Amino acid sequence: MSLHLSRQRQVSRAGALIGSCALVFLFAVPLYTGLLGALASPAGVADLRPWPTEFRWQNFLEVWKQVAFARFMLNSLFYASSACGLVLLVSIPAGYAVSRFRFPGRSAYLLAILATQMVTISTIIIPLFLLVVRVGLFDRAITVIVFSAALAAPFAIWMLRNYFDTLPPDLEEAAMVDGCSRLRALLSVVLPVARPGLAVTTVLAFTMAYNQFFVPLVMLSTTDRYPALVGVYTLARQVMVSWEVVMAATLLVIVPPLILFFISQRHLVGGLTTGFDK
Amino acid sequence: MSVGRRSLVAFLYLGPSALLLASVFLFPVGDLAWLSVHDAHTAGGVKGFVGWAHYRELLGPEFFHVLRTTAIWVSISTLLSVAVGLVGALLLNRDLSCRGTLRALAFLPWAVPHAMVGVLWRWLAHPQYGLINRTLLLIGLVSEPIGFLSVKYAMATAIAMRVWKGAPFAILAILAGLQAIPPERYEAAAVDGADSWDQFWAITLPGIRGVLATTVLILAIWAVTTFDMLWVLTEGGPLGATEILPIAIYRLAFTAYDAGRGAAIAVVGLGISSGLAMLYYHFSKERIS
Repeated sequence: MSLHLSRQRQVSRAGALIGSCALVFLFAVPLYTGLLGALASPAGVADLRPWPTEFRWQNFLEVWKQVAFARFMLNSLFYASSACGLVLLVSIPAGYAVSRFRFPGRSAYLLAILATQMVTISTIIIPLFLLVVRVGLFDRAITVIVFSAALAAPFAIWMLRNYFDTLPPDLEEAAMVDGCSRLRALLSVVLPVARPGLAVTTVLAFTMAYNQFFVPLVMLSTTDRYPALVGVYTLARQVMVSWEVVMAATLLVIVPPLILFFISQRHLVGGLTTGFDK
Repeated sequence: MSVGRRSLVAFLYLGPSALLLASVFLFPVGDLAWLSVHDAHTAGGVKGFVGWAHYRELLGPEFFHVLRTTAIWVSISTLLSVAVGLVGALLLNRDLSCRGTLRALAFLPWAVPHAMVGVLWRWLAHPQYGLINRTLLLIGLVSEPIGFLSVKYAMATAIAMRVWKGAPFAILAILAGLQAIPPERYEAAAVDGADSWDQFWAITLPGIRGVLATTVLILAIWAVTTFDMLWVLTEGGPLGATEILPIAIYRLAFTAYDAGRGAAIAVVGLGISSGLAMLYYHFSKERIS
């Protein structure tokens, strides 16, 4: 009886392993085909096989020379890191205040943060675009940076609030008894202790800004100012597409968020279930 | 410290974020409603008041088509993502060798930026050069390549892409739900002679009901607000076959330059996504205090 049961369990375990592998295999297909394309020659890309026949790794180097790709990547990194800095600048004091202070209007503020998550960018893009044109900020880097920051800030404030909630208030109170001001205590006592929370928030804010496509698509018109996502899109929609170039570029663009994803993966589950992030 | 002084300090801490968020989120919502009752050109400014004219136009067949496309896109992609997510979570919850690697690989699509998902699928589904058609032709399953981005199949391809991107999130959420079920319940059921099928219906499914509901709502909200991947894949075409709400807004405002009509559609879109978001907050009981 017990022998029979354990045998049944083994069979079901093998089935689960095969099922999981099949699922992971299916999930890998779009990335695999991207790699097949990226490694092909201009002639081979039009005659693709399901298995790799060419290994032109130099495609990944040539992409930087052939198209404005280096420019696009630099733009992306500049927009994302600036937006990320702006997010931290406004979110750290905000997250700290709603975690530590009790004041009139606090729950209204928190409700407003939640409400911003209901307003999706595509629905308000028309008035935002008209405003940007009116004040002469169309096709400017600062516009992309500010909007990307605003889209990531509610999420960052919420995460930091939750993180500050886990730290005991005695920390800064002790420092304040010693004559430290509240701001000084926040900077020199609380923030060093909050490093893990700050790190995850930074990674997520950077990723969200780096992944922005819609805002720069609408708000920029000069090709030289495009971030990588919009740049690669313009390459992929040309009449004659060089797919080996587009795929090499696509995979290179995916690398930074992929690395950040694996770094922060362990912390993502908690952040996700709070329901933010797109 | 007095209440007044404490509030002042709090407002100083909150000020920068409030300013940023209000100027990007609060101001445009009022402006959007105002635009939607005016005749406005995206590049040429506002011309005159037209009352409900833009909204009346929404009752016609064009907008009905967009709503229908959106409903198909949202419902099918959400249900398929959750179904794949449930199967995946049940598999990956098992005590398998190399489970960690398998899980990390399963979450991979989730880390790919939406716009790049569109580029990858545009290549995968390419009528002449794409891997699917090349493979089908090679093994002789078809004699002519299939137009995966044609009027007939574009929506199916788009939904497959959305499921590829959405299912890993569902796996992640449902896995967390599965792990919250106390193992003693399964042990007790096994002692009572329940097989794994009975256990699934009596313990697993009721145990993850809440997680399933919130996962469905989050995926539906993401689907109804999707722009990037779908625009890159099809730009809403061909012939409007994949034109969902956010695409219709963008197309009207930025390729037809009709800001007024675009704004009217945006008001409807805002209503739908806020309704779903409120449902989500109701279910998830996000704490405000």
